[in-house]
Amino acid sequence: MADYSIHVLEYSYVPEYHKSGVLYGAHNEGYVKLPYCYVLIRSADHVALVDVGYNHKDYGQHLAEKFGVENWRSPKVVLAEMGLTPEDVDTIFVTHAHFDHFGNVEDFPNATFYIQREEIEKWVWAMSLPDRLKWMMIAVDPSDVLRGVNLAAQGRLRTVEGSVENVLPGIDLHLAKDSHTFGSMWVTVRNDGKAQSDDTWVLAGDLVYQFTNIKNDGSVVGVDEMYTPVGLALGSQMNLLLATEEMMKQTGYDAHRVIPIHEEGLADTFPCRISDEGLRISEICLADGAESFVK
Amino acid sequence: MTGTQRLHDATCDVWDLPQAGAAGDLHPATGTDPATDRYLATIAPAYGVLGRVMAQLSGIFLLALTRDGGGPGLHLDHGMYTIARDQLAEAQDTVASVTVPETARRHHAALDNLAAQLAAAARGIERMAARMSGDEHARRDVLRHLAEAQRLLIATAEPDAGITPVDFDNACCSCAVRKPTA
Repeated sequence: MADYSIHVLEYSYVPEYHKSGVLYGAHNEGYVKLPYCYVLIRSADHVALVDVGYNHKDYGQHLAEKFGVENWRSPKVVLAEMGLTPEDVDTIFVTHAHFDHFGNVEDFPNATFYIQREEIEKWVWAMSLPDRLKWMMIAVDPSDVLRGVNLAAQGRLRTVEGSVENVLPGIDLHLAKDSHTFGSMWVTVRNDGKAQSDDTWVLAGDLVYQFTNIKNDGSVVGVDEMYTPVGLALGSQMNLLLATEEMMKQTGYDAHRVIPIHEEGLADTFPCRISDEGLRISEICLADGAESFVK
Repeated sequence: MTGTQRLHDATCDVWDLPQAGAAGDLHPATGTDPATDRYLATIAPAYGVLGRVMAQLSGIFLLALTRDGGGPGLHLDHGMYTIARDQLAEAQDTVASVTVPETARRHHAALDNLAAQLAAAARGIERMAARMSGDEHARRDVLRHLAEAQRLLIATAEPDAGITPVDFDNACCSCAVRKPTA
């Protein structure tokens, strides 16, 4: 029994992103494509997203011209490929407050948002620090925090403290404190609804960028494979590795069930197609009775 | 800082702002000149502080709203709040003391208005925290000032001068690579 269909929906990409940003320590090892995606979790009763991307009208042109971010498409266009509109989305899990994950809340007028309280509290603290500590404030758009206030005032923002089970039936939220960011979160889908699930998917946010973060060459330390953290840790690499271990544990150490959203190689593991807009749709799993969107 | 900095042209739609106190002094930007460069260099740190104060006040308000479930009054973390107020006061001093060239009069007026909006939002938060006012009207009033501050923050961004709400140069997964130039 599977309650949810899960699809990774690409909404933009960077054609050439330095590999050391993806994989800690991979200096001078060239560039990789970095897709930007959010994740659609859909059941008979709910339409949920993990993250919302960024707002093109605010920064899209700047990003495109300065940094080579290409082919941004709105949630309206991206979700239309799935037969949905942004208005259909009822629940959104924000993995962290970087602008490319939390930067487009206004496009989802009917959704209730979930974010870790730790994430907001420590960003507020970081914002109070002097300029010489400004590195801690990277990639956070002050306007996104304000948009969060608007959501809160409307009763559509829930701050989560640590792990919470069954936010939706079979969907759990987990805190990875002081890792990629202060209060990064991952989303666990127990797709059979059981407490001890045999069908668990983990949606990793930016705790894992690509599969290489989970299965990297370990010869340098005399093992076949090892976890290797992403290039950016506002907290620590240790906490990223411990979060990776916990995510892997939840899936019974099946690395293909920890889904990284910046992974072009999802195409090698899951059925997929390229939309008319040139963006990839990866079909992670289908709910019972659901039809494929990639055939 | 480069010599290519300039303010938005007078016809640019970012200037579609509510009339500020210095509205009568508006003049078109005429391009690069040393006085404008000095102004931008001086004002850039204050702009960064104002953006961060907006985020701090927003975050503190968000945390208070979600903690209290939106009920009357706010439970503020006064340590964080006091820091935000102090930083706002310092930024207001910088904005007030900078030498403003003719080309930047409208920009400066908008920044001054931005700081004023933040101060008004802070006063509203204080009143709610003191339970002097906790109704829907008070909440909307704080949100209105913060939203106006946000609009002004975006309108007064000058990315070529490093005056931007987001530090894109160090962003995580999106923009740490520069597009190769021919």
